[in-house]
Amino acid sequence: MKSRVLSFVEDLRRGAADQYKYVEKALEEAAKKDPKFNIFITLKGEIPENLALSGKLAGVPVAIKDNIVTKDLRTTCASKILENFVPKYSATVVKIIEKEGAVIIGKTNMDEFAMGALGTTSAFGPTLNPLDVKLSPGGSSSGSAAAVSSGIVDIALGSDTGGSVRLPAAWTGVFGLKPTYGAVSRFGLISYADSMDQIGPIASTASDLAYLYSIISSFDPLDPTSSGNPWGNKIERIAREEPDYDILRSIKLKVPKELVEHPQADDSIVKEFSRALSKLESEGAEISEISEPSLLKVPQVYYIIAFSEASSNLARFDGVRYGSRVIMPEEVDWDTYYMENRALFGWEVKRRIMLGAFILSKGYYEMYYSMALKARGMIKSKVEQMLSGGGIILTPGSPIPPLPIDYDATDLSRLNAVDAPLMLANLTGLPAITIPVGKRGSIPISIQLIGSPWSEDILLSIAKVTEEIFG
Amino acid sequence: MPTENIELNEELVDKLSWLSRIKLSEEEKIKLLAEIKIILSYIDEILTLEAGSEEITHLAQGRVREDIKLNSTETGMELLHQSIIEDGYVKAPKVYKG
Amino acid sequence: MSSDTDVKIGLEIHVQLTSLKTKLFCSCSSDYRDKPPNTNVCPVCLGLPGSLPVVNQKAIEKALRVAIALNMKIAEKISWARKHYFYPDLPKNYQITQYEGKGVTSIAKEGYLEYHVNGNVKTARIRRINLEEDPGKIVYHTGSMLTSKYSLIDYNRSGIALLEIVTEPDFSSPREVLAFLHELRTLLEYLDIADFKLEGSMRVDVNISLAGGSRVEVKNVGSLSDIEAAIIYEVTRQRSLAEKGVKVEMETRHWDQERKVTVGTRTKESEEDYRYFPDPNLPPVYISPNMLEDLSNTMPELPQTVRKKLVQVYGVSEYLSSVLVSEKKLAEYFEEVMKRTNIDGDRAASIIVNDLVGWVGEERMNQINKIVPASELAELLELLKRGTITIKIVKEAIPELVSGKRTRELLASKGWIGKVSGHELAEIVDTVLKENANAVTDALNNPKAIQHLVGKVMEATNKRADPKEAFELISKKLEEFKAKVRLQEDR
Repeated sequence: MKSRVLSFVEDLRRGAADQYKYVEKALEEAAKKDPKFNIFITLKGEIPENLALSGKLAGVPVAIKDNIVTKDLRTTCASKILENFVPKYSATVVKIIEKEGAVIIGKTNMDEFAMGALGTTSAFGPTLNPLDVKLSPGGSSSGSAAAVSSGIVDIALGSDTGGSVRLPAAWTGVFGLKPTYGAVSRFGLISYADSMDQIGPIASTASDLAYLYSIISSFDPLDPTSSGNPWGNKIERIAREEPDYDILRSIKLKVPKELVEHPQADDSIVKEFSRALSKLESEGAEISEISEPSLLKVPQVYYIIAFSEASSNLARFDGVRYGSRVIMPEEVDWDTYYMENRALFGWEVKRRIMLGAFILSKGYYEMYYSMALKARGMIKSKVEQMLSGGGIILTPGSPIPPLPIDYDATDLSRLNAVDAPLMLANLTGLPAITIPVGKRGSIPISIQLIGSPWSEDILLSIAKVTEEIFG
Repeated sequence: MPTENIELNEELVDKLSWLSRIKLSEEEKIKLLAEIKIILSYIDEILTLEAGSEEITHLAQGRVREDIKLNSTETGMELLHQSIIEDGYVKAPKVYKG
Repeated sequence: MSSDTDVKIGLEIHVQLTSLKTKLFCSCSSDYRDKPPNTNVCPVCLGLPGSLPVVNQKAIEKALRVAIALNMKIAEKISWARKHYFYPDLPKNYQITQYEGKGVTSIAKEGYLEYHVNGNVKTARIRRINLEEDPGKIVYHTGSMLTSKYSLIDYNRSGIALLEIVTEPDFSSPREVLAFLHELRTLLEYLDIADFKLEGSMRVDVNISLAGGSRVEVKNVGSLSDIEAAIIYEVTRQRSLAEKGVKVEMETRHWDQERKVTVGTRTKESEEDYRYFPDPNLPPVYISPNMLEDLSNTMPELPQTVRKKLVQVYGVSEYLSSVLVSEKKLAEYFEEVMKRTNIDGDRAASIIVNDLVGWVGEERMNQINKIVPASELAELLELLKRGTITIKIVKEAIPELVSGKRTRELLASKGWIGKVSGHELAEIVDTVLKENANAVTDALNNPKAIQHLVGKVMEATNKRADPKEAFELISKKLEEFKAKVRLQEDR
């Protein structure tokens, strides 16, 4: 399917489009749908004047997750602590897309500080799934996925630390990509877990996904973990050109059976997944089953590392230099000041911070944190073996349908089946993509692919072909 | 299982609340204690993993930058526009108890 | 205070890398002093949400040079840890530092530095050196922490690169500590690490214990005199506690500069849980053997080497050599001067140290070559060597040179060129004696009064005579005179 963004940009260049049209439509749709689905935390009311006429994203409306810093535009991380935070600097990716003429129409809702899988920990209320308002759209990039799924925009940016782009993409039936760690600059992404965070594109078509990705993936000197990429303009070409049907014949798809035969997995979803595999096989894909029970412990390893890093990254929010204040500096001493202001964090964030402090504290570091780092090493080698010789890991995008919006997520072990296939990519820094392959009623069905480092070109190519096959 | 060896009690909750500088109400303390137990028993499962001996702390290469001055494009007062400013200083609570 | 063998003192020295152009993790200027508050900042050193640290390569190089100069074992990689504590001057509420443990290492460990004290050579062991970032500065609206209702923070200093140098407790007196610090500072200046004339460029935490007793840390002592006072106070305090049978608590105390006492704080250092862990933003940077070899081969001359060179090559005395070396620019200056004159090295050193330095002044020492170009001084000394001028003239000329005059013009304008001696001098002596008959009479009776006549001769020759020679000639004349008078008396 042709990239909608590209079509517009090309029409604009030829003088065959109204430069304001795309943004106008987006704002109209947003005005209609935002009240229904609670997608935006901050929504621009008007079309900015002087829209760019040239640039790869000239006149294109984009929705940005509210943990990505935007100069002069409120950035809250869906938290009371940053409820009125207006940064005076922008994230690198924001600068990049604005330079290409993109129009940021608003900042999208999310789980507070990206901690959550349902979109329900936001201080601004949950985003509802546009496919069925009784259901969660997935998190933590709930608003960005819903913005694309509901048709407000064709492209959005989210962030993915433990599946936060891919899960909402799966649950709302759109495309989502988590880059190879280091491919997209993290400067200006408000940190949750630095060793795993990545900004990722969400889009309504595979071509739009690839197009946006080709623009945001580049080396940034301001990001110490940033890398240049080896693709040149390959990804942009993939976005523009016809799908490459040969790609399916060149890959070896490997399905880890423990992740599919998971006790928490939904039978009908698993059936749909098998049907999708058959279709891919009939188009020439080689699919085999592999067994690796340790993958079931991936979420536990992830949580240990994520909680620890989060407790450290969120230490800076104390109300001194910015952020909400419930008390004034001259009223109390500094410890009391911090204790009071930081009580504004939501519950999920509070408990993760305190668990993280526990894990890093004296006496427990070796037991948990050090163990988790070693487990990560072990999992990384196992995955490298799976991916050797042209291998690509294939799992359902989500082995369960979207959970109800009032689901109680206190016990994280109940999300093991959902978490494991997604967090595997974050723990190891590998690129991963969610591709919608159909619906069962209003339940979207998707597959997830995890590739070797810097194999996004292959993943996006597969996405384009898959889109055609299942179209 | 290690959770049995760790004292999971109100004292621990108070300690974590202090380490994190997050004030908790009495209900929250009870809630947190219950939830910590649940989550710890989940993450304890990694202890049965045959982990390797190499700790992976990073997934990227280390990088350095040259010692060249670059002026910030924004001024200090712009960046601190939501601080409470007195004579150019950021007003903060006192660091003395008493 | 004499060296008490039961006193153990260790130091944790924080040196700002003032020679860097930028801060440790961002490209803000490292020159933060005297700037209006919060004007030398950026999102990174303010720890604003989404900001990320990128290491200054030069900071690593400088730290490695120090490690080499201190004979240390160097780590195979540069790794970073986060040290967590909540304080308003620490924007992220953690400090990026280095640590020994948890997969992170110091840059180097187990080295040593020799230093001189009381004519002896002592060795201080260096436990480790680390890089870390400086926090911002806290000031108080009433001027005092105790009476202010709130704090005021200036983040200009936040993120400045610090090199932490930790010694073993190898010192047993303030004198040893000061001698060591003097040696260390000289070394660090030679390595172009820091300019210690800048305020705040060095801060020291002093760990003091008495035999078998607990260790007390006295934090943040600024000047060398404060360090001496703090050690003396603390040892006295611990001794009197011990004498009363009271156990000394292991704790952290602060040095109160006003009242000159150490003050206990309520939190015990041992209670702090810093939750160190490897900073996930900063993957390790490996130190290649090539890099180390390059650094070793391009090390500047170290003070010990220069000291020996001045003694062995130029014949300067040990003492003068030490003085010259203690100021890098001064030693360089000396060598520049010696390139241009044949005067005896020790003599040149003596004149520089005893005459020139005083007129230039300590604060301007590092510009000495601009104030009196080496060539100018060399010219003066060369004339002294040749006997064309006298030492007295040299001493008079020096302040003039310091105020900007040039040697050749100065000597000409003052008529100081050309030494008066021998026959010429003898004639002037005769004239002076004839003109000062009363003084001559005094001198005949009181040898001490000859000095007055010497003075007159110096005046008459415009100081171009050698006072010793003048004295001898005058004495000879007086003897001749005495002899004549006796003869006359005898008749």
